[in-house]
Amino acid sequence: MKNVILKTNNLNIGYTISKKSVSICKQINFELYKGELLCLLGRNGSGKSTLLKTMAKMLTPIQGSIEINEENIENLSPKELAKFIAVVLTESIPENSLTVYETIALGRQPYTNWLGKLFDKDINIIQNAMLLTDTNNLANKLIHQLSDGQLQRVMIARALTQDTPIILLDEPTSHLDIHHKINIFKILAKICKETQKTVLISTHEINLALKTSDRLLLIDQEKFKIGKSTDNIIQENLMTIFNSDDIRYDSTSNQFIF
Amino acid sequence: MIAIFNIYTGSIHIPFKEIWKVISTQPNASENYHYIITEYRLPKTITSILVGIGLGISGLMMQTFFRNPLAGPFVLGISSGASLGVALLIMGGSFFGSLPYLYNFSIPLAASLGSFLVLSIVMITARNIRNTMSILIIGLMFGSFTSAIISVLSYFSSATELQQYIFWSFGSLSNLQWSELYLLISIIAVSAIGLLFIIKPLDALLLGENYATSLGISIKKTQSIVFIITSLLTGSITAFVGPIAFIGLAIPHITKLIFHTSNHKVLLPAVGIIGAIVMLICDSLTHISIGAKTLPINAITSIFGAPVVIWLLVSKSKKLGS
Repeated sequence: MKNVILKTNNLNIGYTISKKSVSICKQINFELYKGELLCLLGRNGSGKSTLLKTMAKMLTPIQGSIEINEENIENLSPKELAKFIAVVLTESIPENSLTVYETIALGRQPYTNWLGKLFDKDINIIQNAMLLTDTNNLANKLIHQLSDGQLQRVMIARALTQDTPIILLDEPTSHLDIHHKINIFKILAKICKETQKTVLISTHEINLALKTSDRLLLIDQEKFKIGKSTDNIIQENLMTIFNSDDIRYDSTSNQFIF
Repeated sequence: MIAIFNIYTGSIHIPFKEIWKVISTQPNASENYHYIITEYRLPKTITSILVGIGLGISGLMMQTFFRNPLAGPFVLGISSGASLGVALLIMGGSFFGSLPYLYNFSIPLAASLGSFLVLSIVMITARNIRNTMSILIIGLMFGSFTSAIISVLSYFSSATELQQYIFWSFGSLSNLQWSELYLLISIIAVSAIGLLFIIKPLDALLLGENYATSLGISIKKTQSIVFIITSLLTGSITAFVGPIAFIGLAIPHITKLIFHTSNHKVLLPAVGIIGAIVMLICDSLTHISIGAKTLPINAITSIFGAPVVIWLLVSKSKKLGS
């Protein structure tokens, strides 16, 4: 039996405009297992970010619930939730003079005392995350001096530092070059295996997603599907979402051909 | 040292030696000097320090909370509320008949009532708003609204009333008695305890609201603490010394440029110290400039402060450019 870490019950996600809720995707039911790498695919505006933000309790679901270790996240305090879920978001960071090291160290906040003092254990975790993401040579730079790609790696390091069983990443490789793109997917896959963390990545890198992920989550026209990339139903859905005159899914090599 | 220099400056010349005698409570200190220093100069020096600390810290909290370098301690409408209260007291007479008038006491009271009223309205309006930027704009709108009312009042008021109001709006550090100082000190002490709870949330907010939430910070709770502390600090300061402009906006910038950090564990005390130093210098300058006449503190803070901030920003961008 696989270990379920996160579960949704008839989740209905969307947003609220002047007290009217607009649903983006309904009837979302899935279970995430420990140590699994998952990719969330869908077209622009299909609700990928909305789903991730709802899971991180930054948005409230229109209906249904999300459970972590059989506990409804509505009943978790912000601090408790911060020990379960870490996030990497697409939003830009406000002007500040934080260094790379300080930014990554903020990931330890749920565990530190009121002054935010770092102990040896915290420092080890920070250094390990920097090593994994290849950011240790940036440690003393200000985050506003970084390129977009470097910043994305720093934010991934920050999420790793939070040391949570679940990590949600919203398009974490959008600004990276092909070397670092593949690198990040490799790192995340490695983390899943070695530390039994569950990693959910929303991405537009279809081929990388097909190759590295254990299972795929698809959102298309308010419908939600989950399964392995070899499942018939997933392949059919992938075709309807992304197939067009310019791009074609090749089921024998399990990749999209441009 | 700056504090002693601040005591030294004033319309009556007191030698440093005599000041030392008074401060170190030596028995042979001159009676007159003793009176001037303990009843007038020392309270003023302490007021400057407290005002600098309070406004600096409030400004820093607001800038971090709103993630806007143009935010200051008065964005929640405290200064406009206080101005409205005092304007109604001084100039409203022509509208409502003369109000009961107890000069020394009624102005702080009117200022407190006014700022409390406007602050409450801003808070109630802001309560159901998720977007913190909108709160900032609402605060600014209330500012324009109250200043418009004050304009109307001044248009219909007599020259003496107008002069009296304008003198209040210049701000004055020298009206405080010891009893009022103790009140101000205890308010700052209480606020300092509150500050201990928001060092980490403020650091997390540097990454934006969503990241802060993901780090286990409750935005609503942080907002309440930040707003309560700011209201206490700036509300009491404005009530006693008038609307001191510029300090709350500039001190956090000056401190960040000197200390090169965004870490609130360092910034909060640093802003307090720099705020106190700058207020002492500004207050000393009000006395030096034109001998016997003291200049309005509000003019000094901006005349000398604005060029300093511009210079610091320009030299910083030069350093980054090279």
